[in-house]
Amino acid sequence: MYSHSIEKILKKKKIEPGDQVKVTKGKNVYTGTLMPKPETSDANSIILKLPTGYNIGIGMKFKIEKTGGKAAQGKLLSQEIEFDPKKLTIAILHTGGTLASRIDYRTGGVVSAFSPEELLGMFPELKEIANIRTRLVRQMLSEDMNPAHYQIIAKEVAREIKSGVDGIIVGHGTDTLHYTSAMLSFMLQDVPIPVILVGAQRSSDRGSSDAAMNVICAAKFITKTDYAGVGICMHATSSDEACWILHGCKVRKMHTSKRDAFQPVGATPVAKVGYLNDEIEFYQEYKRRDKKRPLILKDNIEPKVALIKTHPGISPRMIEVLTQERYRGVLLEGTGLGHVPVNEIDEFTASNKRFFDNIRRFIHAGGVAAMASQTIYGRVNMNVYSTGRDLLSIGVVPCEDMTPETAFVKLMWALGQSIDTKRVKELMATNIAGEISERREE
Amino acid sequence: MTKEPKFDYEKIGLKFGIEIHQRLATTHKLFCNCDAKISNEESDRTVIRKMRIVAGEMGEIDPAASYEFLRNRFFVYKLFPKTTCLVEQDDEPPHEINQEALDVAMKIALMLRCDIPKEIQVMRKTVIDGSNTAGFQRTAVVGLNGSMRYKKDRIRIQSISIEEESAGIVESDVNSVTYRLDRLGIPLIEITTEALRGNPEDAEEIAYQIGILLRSTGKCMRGIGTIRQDLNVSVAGGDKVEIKGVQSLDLIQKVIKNEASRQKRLLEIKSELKSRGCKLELFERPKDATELFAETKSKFVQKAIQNNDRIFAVKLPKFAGLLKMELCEGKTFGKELSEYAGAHGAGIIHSDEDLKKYNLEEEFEKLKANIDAEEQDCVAIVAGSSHRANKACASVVERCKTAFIIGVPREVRVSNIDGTSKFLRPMPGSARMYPETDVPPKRIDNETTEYLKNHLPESWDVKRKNFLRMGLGSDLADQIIRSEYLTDFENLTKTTKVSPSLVASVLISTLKDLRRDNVAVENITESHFADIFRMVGEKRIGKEAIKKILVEVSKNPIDAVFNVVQRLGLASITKDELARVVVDVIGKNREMIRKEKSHAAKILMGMVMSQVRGKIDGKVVSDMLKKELKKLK
Repeated sequence: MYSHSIEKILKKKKIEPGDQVKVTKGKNVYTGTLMPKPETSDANSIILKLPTGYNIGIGMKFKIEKTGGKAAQGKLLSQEIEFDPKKLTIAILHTGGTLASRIDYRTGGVVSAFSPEELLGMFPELKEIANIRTRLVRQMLSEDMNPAHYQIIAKEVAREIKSGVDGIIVGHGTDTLHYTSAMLSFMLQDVPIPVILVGAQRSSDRGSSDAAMNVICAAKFITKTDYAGVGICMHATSSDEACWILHGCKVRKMHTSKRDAFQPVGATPVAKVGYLNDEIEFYQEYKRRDKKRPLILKDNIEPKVALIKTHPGISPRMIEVLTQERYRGVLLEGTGLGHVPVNEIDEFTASNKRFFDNIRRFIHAGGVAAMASQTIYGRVNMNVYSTGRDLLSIGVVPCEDMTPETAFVKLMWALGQSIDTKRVKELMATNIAGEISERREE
Repeated sequence: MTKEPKFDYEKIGLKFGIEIHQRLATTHKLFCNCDAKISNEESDRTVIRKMRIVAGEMGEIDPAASYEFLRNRFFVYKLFPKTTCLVEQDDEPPHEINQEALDVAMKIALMLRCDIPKEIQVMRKTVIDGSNTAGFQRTAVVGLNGSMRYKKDRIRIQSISIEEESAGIVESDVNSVTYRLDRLGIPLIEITTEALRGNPEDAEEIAYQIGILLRSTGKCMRGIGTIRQDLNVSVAGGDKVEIKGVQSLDLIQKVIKNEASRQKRLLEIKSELKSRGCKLELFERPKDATELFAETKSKFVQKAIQNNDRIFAVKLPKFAGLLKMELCEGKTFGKELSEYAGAHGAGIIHSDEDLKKYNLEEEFEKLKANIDAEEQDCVAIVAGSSHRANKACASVVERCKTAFIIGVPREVRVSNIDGTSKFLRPMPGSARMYPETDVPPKRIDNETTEYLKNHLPESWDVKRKNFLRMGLGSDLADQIIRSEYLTDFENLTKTTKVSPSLVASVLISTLKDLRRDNVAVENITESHFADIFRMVGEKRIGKEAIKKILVEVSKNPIDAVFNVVQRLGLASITKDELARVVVDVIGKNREMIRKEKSHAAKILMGMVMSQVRGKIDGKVVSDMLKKELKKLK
């Protein structure tokens, strides 16, 4: 927070951030609210919120006096929740992310914040659509997620399904949203109701946030269709007109900042949900909702799986370390049709041979190596070039047209299902949750 | 004829504050690398957005934002090549603040003797009327507690900020607003004076002087809309009312006078209501009175009913006659109420109007009985869709309550071109400010301020002396200093060889003539002028041709000046070509030359000039003509 010398002054005068203060610097007198200080900015000046609302920094030396206590904190809109038996019930499980975020005084950037109740307060339209109940699962940004969190989320979903809700919305950061959606697709088999993951690309503390539309479209989709399955609901285009419902395994974050960052990969969207109107259009066949169908929860996973993106000049050590550390799986994000550097051509490519040998050793030691392509679009085919055939011959499993992220998550899941590598390889080659398309038109 | 209200402004406690917004002519926008200019290309894409209400840093909700959210409109944004990118589209976080713009802003702050904060913190100012795609305008204070000399006093400058220009409005209706995004993000400097006492005339002159100071930096855009004045006006007993978007300096006086009058009259209405025994309990909620109008002969109401609209009615207790009261020129209290209803997309008719005109006399009698309206009460109806009409009618009641309890509501109004103003939204509070979390605060060190202090532009009296030294007359020098073409003048006299007086007279007199002839002079840029003066300097065109070229350039600003000159046939001719014309004219007029003798030269001059005007200097023509005539003798 503030520098030691400023903290000392504040402590002596019993002034805390939020108090009304008068600051005298030279001839000038400023009044306003003392604000907390982001750690990343200059610690030797204080931040004052002027009556006009502007924040300014005032550097040492100054005189400061407390003129009043904390300004009345406005209450965030919190909603009374009433049950309407005519409406369906949706459970919102919140895990954090931009969907509900506010300023962080440690860094001055944005952090996840807000309770699920406040979330509902921010989107009052939701209670017109359905009975809503909310639960805070975690308060984290999705880049911080660990495989263990997939199990926590899956268990929470199972619990809600057991309690009889008609649909579930999972609030989630967007960075790794597609990893989670893929993992839930594998874990929640025969899911009887819709489980829709929602995030936001613009933080919810701004008027232009996309959070509300994404959540509202997800709720509309749940209440107005008989869809069952795991999907992502995010902006279809940059406009606030419609959201895509995207298949949990066939989707990827394709842009750092745009609202329509989530796009289908190797599949059509499942459906489009209108925001300005109530139109919903399906583009795919889907499993119907049946609350009597029992959920098969397969949430065992093997976290010791690595995702290695190969590149020109990659060191063979990258694989050697995995063998030494007893990793059970490696998803190779290869180039083109599913290649890694394995051929020794001249004095500069000697390490390629070792890279190949190290993959072989990894597999000999009981690991499973699988291949997806960094081209993102298209199917791997390891029969066309001898590089691919060499890799096949040592037991590398091709992952068809899965995205590298889906293939990585699936490998974790498959290794959790069986200790028999043969069985794991079979699972990898089998279409479990729609992650493999038999035919592609693009 | 409406007469101007006359007040003793000191006596009625007039106070006004001036906020000047000037667009800066930087290369790039404030938070991205788009060209900082209005596009002359067609928009190539659109995006559609809705805005939501959000809480401020202290957790409260801004009243202005809440008002706009209730209007529930959607926004269409037009995108342009080169001048809009993902940042304007709110699909990419802002880049770092534009250093060029920040330097200009700090220079202005230093010229106005402001304190520069040690740290520049970019703030988000909540604006959800759609004029900013983000739902807020980015703004940062760069100077506080400044002052400037005016007459014998020093006027306090409250603050100087640098902010993003908003998006330009294209069209709007009750459901949606269309904006163009090329304007969004152009750097804007905002200078705010403290509340001043004085006459409306002073306000105009102060704004004028601040304008001169701004232009002296050489980094100001010019043309319609590039400088805007907002005025904060109050009279004793009234309240601060912000009037936005005063587009020209000569409107300032009128706007202040009108607002002073409006506030005085509203206070009179308040005391009249008190003396009539108005009470808060007397105000009622609007009622759906559509049934009463089932058999109406009024075309207006018939049409509404055909559209499935509803008619909401309400009693305005003790207001009879007051809606007719003129608040300022041409504007009654009734008109003001209709603006509140209009914001919700509904129309209003009330009993202070000529009901015969609407064919509604009978219905209003029935209505009065139905809602127990008495002699002193006014009755109003609002037509519109059920939801809108109810909201609009309720907002009329609220406004009337305010007229009774407070008199003058604190609000933001927008200036009309006739100097009156129109309700825009409630006054936003400090709740609208929130730190811009995407831009880290910027430390301003002493070296930066010292450097800028040593590189401030010359003051205007130094400039004036220079201009006189260049050979400008003192009138012309003053006009240039006050002109928005000051920077162009300074640059053009440096880059071209023509006389400064010619540059000044083109920028002042010629443009004035063209403006009077409705020529779009705003299309003419400094580089057009530079090309023209360069050609004049090289004697490739005569200065007589300048006006003609400017007219043509204003029509086709994308065309190169060289092409325009060619097309108009104004390219100068060589002395050989001139000689050919002269010999030709003499040859054809031998008879006349013999007859007219000494007058002949003048007549021949006219004939030759009709062929070569603007293509070569007249002096050259007359010299050559004399030479050739001599050969005849």
